[in-house]
Amino acid sequence: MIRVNRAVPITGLGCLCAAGGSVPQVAETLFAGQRRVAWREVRGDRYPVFQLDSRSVPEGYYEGPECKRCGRLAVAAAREALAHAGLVAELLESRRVGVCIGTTVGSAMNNEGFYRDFRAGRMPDIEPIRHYLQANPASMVAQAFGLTGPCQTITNACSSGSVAIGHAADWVRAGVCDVAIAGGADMLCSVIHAGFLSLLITDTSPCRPFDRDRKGLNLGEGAGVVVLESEQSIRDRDAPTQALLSGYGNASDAYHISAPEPNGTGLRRALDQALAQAGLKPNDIDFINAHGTGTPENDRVEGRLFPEIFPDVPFGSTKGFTGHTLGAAGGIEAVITIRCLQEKRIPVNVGYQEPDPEFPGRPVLENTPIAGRYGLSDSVAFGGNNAVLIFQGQL
Amino acid sequence: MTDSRLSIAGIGLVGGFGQGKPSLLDALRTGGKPNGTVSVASPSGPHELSAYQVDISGVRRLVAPAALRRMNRFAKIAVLGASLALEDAGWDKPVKRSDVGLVIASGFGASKSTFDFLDTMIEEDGHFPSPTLFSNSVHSSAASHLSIVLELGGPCLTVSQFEMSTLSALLTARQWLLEGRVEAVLFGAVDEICPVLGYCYERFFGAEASGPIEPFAWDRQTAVMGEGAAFLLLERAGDDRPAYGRIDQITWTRSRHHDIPRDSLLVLGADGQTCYAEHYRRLSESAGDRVAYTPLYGSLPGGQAFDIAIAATAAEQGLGPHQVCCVKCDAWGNCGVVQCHFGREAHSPVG
Repeated sequence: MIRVNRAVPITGLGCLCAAGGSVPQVAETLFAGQRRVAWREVRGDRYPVFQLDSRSVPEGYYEGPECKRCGRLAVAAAREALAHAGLVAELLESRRVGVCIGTTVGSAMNNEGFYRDFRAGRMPDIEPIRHYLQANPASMVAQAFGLTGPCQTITNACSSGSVAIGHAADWVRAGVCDVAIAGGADMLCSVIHAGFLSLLITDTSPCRPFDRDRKGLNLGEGAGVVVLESEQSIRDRDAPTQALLSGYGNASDAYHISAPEPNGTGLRRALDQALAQAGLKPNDIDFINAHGTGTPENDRVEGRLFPEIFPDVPFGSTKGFTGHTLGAAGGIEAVITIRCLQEKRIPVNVGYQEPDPEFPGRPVLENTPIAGRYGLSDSVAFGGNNAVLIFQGQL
Repeated sequence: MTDSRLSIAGIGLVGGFGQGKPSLLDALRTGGKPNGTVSVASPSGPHELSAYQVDISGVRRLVAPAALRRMNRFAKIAVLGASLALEDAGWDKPVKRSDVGLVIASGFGASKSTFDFLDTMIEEDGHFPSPTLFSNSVHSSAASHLSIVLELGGPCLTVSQFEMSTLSALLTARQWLLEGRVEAVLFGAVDEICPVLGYCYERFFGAEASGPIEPFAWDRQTAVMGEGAAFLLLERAGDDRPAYGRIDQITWTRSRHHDIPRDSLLVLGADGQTCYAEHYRRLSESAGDRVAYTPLYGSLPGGQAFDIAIAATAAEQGLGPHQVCCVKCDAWGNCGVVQCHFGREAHSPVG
């Protein structure tokens, strides 16, 4: 039985995605209700995507090997988070710092150009493979900041970013490291886009989470990172705490390789675990940042489960602003959840117009004030992995 | 004081040596060697590259055919290894529990399905990519299939950290157990060979090495690629006497800083790749006895899980010592150290 565990302080936040190149920019876009949709042509059809605009792209992002983009996104978000935490190089050097990054594209050896040459018998140079071996996102972050603690790149599909934060908190709590940089990073990738098209779960319009007429997801790119830090480390440098990670749950559906279990039994277990670890009851939660991809199946599960477990707790998805950033989603949404706790309000569930008669859950229709004590963010992944994070604000 | 040690309750091994304990013990007694070849394209024409390959036919004895229908080879290797570990521990299948965690460590994931999916993208001008291949190409697909087949509703994790995958994933498995998140963890390292990896291997290392691997020939490239699965059923160290012994410490470090206890057998993950040789050579200089099991299973990123499983099995059979330190190094200068005390007498009060 999971025990109530010590909450782990969060001292820094970093985020970049289609909604902006930094945490304040992302918050501004969300609360202004702005969608920054770009369009890509794939197999003759145009699809909306949520890509970084030119002002948000990290330096050198489009230079060099494409496979390093996920790592570059993670490094950019980590840089903002470390600056926010006030963890300068000398302080990092005197601490044991771990890195835990979730990704999907960042671990995939799916270099299309290389493979086209290989299958055509053109004996391609293996330089792209060398780059791939140097592109591990967690290792790239560690290298960028000269860190020597444990590294973990988590590949749990779309729950990777949430899982990374949950496990990094475990490391800090157990003393494996003093500081952990954790979150998720993913880039737009034509191979992955083709995969989602093959599953028939992409929308040709900007996505509509929880709406009756939703057709699927839109892909996005970005990274979201938090700095988790031990109480001792914070005391030693007299640093402010932004929030606490109070609870983390992780459970499997054990149901299907790509579809969620219709009754949400795995998600329910993950919610129970996170609440138990935080020592909270459902009515302690002030709001939920839903996974809310805009796919019929995902939203149906959440739209049924939330009103049942968390009656009257407002919820919404921010995928309408960010797109589905896959392995980065949990990291980006963790940052947004904490920012919402700090601002004591949550943004409109953009894209929603018509209630779905198949489930009772209704997302927030406008920017909504909240109490700012506890915020919950959940991730529902391909293959049936579910992850839940509970953050505490108002310290 | 919290006991942070882990008990090993069951082991499941699949590799070029065969599957299960009898095959491994044969290989331990006779010495291992590559058992197959992969056809590799090269500028001088196709040729055969030595490899340690898995025969997955045994999975049909352990898992219902219907459950295997949609699995790729990567997942079948994982299911075979996991099933053997559960069988070894005397557990029934399906497990049907949500207090058992599942942790998979893999260097390259389902690489064959990744490239098979690309084939479907490239053929027909990209109009008919396969959803089944896409679903199976993600790194977490083996964990997903395992959770379905074994009815494991607990926490699930897939880690891809190349050579440090096993060490990094073990850190999480330990935390799950210590925090009471689960009562047991089914932990496994899984890697698979495919033609593209074979091509890359040859371009990186050349085609000369035909095996067996010579792990202590520091200045010569003798690596031969391998595939397989090494599963451990892990529990919290408690009053029970564990079947194989325990994992005492899991340490992520920089190789130049680490001291190996001289009373431990040093199990090096040296796999014949000269790029890591200097790390291993330096570590072995400061240690007492040393051994490498890579000639039994080949060169693969998750090899450290094989080392732990093989050393535990050897100790259980009286073929190896009880105090063991398994070390794996990576290209980034990291070093993963797993200190173990094998044998049933590994039970001792927490000091």
